[in-house]
Amino acid sequence: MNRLIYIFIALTAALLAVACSDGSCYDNSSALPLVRFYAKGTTTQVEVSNVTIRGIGVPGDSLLVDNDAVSEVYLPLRANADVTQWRFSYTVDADIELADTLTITYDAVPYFSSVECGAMYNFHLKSVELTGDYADSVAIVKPVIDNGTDVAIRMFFSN
Amino acid sequence: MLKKLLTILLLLIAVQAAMAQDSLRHVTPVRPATNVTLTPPRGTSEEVIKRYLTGDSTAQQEARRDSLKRVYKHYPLLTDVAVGLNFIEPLLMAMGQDYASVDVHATLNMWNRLQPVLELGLGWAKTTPDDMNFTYRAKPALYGKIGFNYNFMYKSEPRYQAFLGVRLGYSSFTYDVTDVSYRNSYWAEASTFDIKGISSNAIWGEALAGIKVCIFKQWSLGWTIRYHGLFNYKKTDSGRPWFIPGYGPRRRPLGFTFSLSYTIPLSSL
Repeated sequence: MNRLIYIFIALTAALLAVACSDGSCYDNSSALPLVRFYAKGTTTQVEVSNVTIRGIGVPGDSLLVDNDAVSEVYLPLRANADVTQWRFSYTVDADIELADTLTITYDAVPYFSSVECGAMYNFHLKSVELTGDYADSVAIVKPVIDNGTDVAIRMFFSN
Repeated sequence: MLKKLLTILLLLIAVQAAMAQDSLRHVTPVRPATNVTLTPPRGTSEEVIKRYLTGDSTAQQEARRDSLKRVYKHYPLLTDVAVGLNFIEPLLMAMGQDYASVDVHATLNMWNRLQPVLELGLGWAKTTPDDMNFTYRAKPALYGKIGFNYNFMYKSEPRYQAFLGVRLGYSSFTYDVTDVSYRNSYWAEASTFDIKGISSNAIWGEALAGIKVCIFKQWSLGWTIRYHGLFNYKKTDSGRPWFIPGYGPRRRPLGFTFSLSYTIPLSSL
């Protein structure tokens, strides 16, 4: 019976050790749609050079990407509206600049992810629309935007 | 050493007894096939030992049966019922833990081996983590578990047990996430919102190991350590539960219980 009592004491110590442990957030702390760039008609990822991305109507006209080369980008959506527009500008030559406008329509839904990652808005995408003269097309591949890191929108470019 | 002394002593008694009884009784002596000296098993009654030592051939079997009765005590189908309270988590909550489940449980001890168990309890939680943007509140909700234990110390007294067991648990509950502060730095947006009355349910399984020790008369204390996993739980567009009554935090695979229980004997042992 003595052994049983030793086990009893060991279990008490184990409880105190486990009760003090805690977790971490391994996802994003907010829901952001990940837009990835592909060559037209393929699933080959491409990098777009000299691109500038800004939100239309953003305070201070601040840039998300400033004349950089990118192959994917997280585009934060407005929680207080149901449409967010983004302007993509491309410097293709020294004095030639092309531009596209990406319009995303959605519902913002309050969402509790976890104690570690917190509460946020999820975005249920309704449609995406692309207008302009450089990118070819756009498609939704993940209609519910949560704090995961999966690709939500594919944007296709001609060579 | 003690065993050797006992063997020598028994041999001396045997020789003496044989000499004394030789003139009174005529029996066929038991001749072992080898040089090994057979001794009565420990715990054999004195009367059987006497007959055994005289060389009575039937006494050997009786001695074995007599000893087995002592070593392998057979408990009745309905040995006892234990009713207990698992109270560790309210204590841990008082020390700063954010959640608690408390339950009463009844265990029917059958043959001091197999023990069907029913657990009924209440679980709740409230947390506002540091550096986070919300308060999570799970309202007190009921849960139930059924399962059984297998007591590996079935040869010993029921007051001391070491067992393995399984459980199937279910709970239906609601939770609120309030005072959420939302901030989008790029769009310079800030807002607060609440998500209230999110209903969910969960079904899960547990595998456990435990011990039980007597502390005073019919009163016992018991520990279990439990590895559990969710079979299914309800997710909604508003979120996933963090806390499940009777299970604990959804992402934590280990659980503990600490119980005080009272045992009611169902038969005289």
